[in-house]
Amino acid sequence: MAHLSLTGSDPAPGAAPPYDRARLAQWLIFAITAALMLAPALPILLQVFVDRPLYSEGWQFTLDNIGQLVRDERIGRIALTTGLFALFSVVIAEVLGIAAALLIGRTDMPGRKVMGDVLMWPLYLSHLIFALGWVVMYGPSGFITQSIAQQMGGGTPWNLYSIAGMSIVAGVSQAPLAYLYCLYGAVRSVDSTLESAARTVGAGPVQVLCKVTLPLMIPSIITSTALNLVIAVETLSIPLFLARPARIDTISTFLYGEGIAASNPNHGLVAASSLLLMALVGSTLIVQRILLRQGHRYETVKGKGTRPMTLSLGRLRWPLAAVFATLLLATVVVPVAGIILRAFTSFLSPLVPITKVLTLNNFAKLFADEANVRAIWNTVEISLLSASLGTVLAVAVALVIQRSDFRWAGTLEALAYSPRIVPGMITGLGVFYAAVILPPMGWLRGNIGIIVVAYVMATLPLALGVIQPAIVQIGRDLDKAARTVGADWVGSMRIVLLPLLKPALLGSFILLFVFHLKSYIIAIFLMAPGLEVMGVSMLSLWTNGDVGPLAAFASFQIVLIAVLLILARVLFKVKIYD
Amino acid sequence: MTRYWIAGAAALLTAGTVQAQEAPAGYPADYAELISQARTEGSLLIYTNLSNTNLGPVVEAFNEAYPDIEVQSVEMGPSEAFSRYEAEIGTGVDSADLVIANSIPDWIRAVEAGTLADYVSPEQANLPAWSYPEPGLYTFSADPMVTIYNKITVPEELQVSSMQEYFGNIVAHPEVFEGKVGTYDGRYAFGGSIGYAFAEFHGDAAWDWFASAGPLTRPGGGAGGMIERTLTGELSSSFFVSGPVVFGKLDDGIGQVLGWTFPSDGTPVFLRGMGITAEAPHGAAARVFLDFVLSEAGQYGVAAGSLTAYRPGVEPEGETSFSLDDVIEAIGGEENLILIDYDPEMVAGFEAFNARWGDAFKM
Repeated sequence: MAHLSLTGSDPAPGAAPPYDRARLAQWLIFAITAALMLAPALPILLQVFVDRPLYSEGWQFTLDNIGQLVRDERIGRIALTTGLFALFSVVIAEVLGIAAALLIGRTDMPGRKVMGDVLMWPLYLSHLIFALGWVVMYGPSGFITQSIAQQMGGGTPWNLYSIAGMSIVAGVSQAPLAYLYCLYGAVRSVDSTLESAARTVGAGPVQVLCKVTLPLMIPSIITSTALNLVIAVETLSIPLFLARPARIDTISTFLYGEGIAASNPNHGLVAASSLLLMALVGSTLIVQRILLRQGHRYETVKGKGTRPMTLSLGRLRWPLAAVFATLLLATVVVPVAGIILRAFTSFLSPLVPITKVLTLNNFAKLFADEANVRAIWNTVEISLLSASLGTVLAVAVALVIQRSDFRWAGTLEALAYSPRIVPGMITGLGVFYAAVILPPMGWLRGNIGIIVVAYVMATLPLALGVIQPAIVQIGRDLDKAARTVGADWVGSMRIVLLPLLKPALLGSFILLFVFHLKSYIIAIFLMAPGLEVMGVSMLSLWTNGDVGPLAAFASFQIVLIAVLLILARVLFKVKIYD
Repeated sequence: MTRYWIAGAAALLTAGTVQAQEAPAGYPADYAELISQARTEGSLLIYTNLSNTNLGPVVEAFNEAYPDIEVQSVEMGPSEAFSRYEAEIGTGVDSADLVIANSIPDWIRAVEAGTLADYVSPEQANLPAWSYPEPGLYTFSADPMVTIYNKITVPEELQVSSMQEYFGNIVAHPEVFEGKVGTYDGRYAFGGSIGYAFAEFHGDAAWDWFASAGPLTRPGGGAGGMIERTLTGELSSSFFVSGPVVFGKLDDGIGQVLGWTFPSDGTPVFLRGMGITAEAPHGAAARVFLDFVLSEAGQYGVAAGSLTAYRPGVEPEGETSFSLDDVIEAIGGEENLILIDYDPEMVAGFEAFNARWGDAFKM
């Protein structure tokens, strides 16, 4: 006991400690999170009511931006397009994801493990890469489109440059998210006695899946639908690549066009439409909360643990596997293969045999440009920094939320999850404005710090999603034990919980690292000379029509991410999303 | 003067490492001072819509002459170059010293807004007057627009160079061309400037061609996209495609499928503008670079980057390098050249042109 009193954790009765370390730490975490979350939001709000870009001199308050937004006849059409696109893509993503979760998670479909892995590819790659793959293979001049068109001797068989085309591409790339939520949220944890009960009264395997398992998945479906909706609204590259050529605009391409590509950006209008967008997304998530309020109706795992049983598909085994494999081949494997093929050819055309156009020129061009090489290093550096800082912040926030009696823990949680309603491009825009008008953030301009701040902010919910469940699994008795022997809150968190959380922290770090590596939307508004990041450089290659070097860049990124994920699996035994 | 004094002092201090460099022949006597100032600055930043393939050779040539001045360029959309500069200067961040872009309305706006530094280059006397139309606004290159064909899908006799025949063929051979002809969208600044100049040149005849063949075409996208679509066979041909982009890709071995020609009865030539910004942090380096681009060596560098040198007397070799003189020779005389200049009337009448163009092409 002697050494315990030496640590000073046993103050004499009545003598108040000089300061409460735990409270201080908790307040600090709260303050950092609040500053990080609010700093970008407030300037956007200000910009809405100001008559010229915030960086101009002598601005005055006005309501004109909102008036302009209401009057602008484009807005109605753009909102409708965005809505339709979001709706269709979410439906496609959910149908695919749910079907995959049921088939892969619960049945004896042959090859389900490989198919489950392939299905995840779009999640590891950015929308930009995926959209590129689809354009290269299925676009109007795509390799497969033209092969079929020239066989038939006439018009193209389909039109990818349409709302339907966009929705399919976005739907397939978001299916993994729906799949994961349904797989881990429900399919794997459904009490199989419920299913057995249905079997005993004569229901067939398919009937059981539809009547028992599926209804139990509703919370997972609602959650993933809400997330996918936000992603559909914020995605830029899919509408930019597929809709712009057909002169279809969504809110994100509109923001991009008005805020970046235009020669005199209308920041007031951009901020006002950002606000509108955030309101839309925010209300979606509120609806999700209301729907899930009665969550106990869906409780499946209680006291007793059971092992989910595998349903036999019987005669349907092989036909279902064939259908599913074909679907994955056409929608995931072919586009990815297309990018790699395009990277090694000077052009892809059914008119010329591929062997005649093989080249390494695209890579030579790519790496000859110093800006691209710089972009790679910047991206790695930024991703490392923001993945580390993001993980540190996330674990601190999660511990305060779940393991402290901090009075504002609820507010902290709401703040920490608020980036979910802010589309990435707007995060970037907000940080950009913040750097303009808030002096303390000004010094971040012109170095990678500004992108790191934006990334940490935008992906805090993602990191929390990995860390919070891990904390739940650690019994409270453990940190209470530490407290009884005199450790304060900070001490018990550091000595007991952090070591136990190591795998989760590693998982969060790798997830964030991959996420930042492929990110492009957030950095668009933050680009400055010398601050290139891969995603934004790829976007400008696309804008300039340099498809060959772009495919080479995309292939490089695919390999980079694949190596990273394999290393994580082999070295650290970390499987992301597991 | 204080600035010169400081720069001079700085130059003296670093005299051990930086030795004085002489001014190029024919330049004013005090030019050596500008060079030493530029070398003290040590670098410059360019915002441009040129890719590294195009700009790289010029920078290489520049660094042979001025090895201690590092040139950084950031590639972006032509309008973005201007808006980014405005935003960065507004927020107190160092921004571009030099802009190179091909967007006529943006240049006119920049001249009006005082975005450009009013610099008189010692090279002016050696250049055609149209290449420096406004104070501070110069021309990097003068790039011809060309017609491209997919040699596999278009029979040889239909691969014509006259635009009159070209538009006639589109109407006469729908089996080859209907819905399979690309060009820039004339309702946007770049395509519109070309269409405007072409229509000014040919008068009502051009509008007749637009009206008869236009609805059979599929305008839209940039040069890279048109080349890609023509290669895959989605398009059979595209017209008014930026020549430098085509030339730059010919090295990739696409020549087996892609044929190209200058329009013989009127080749539109686009002037790629270049100007030093008013608040350039490296003003001296930017001036030295601009003067170099305008010099003979610089224009050879321009040609090496697949862009078109316009300084009289520059005769680049190599199959994909052209000078404006080469273009004029190829199309049989200056009378077939359509110079797209900074015509204030064009900017003023842009909306009317847009509407008429859209009508003709049924867009």
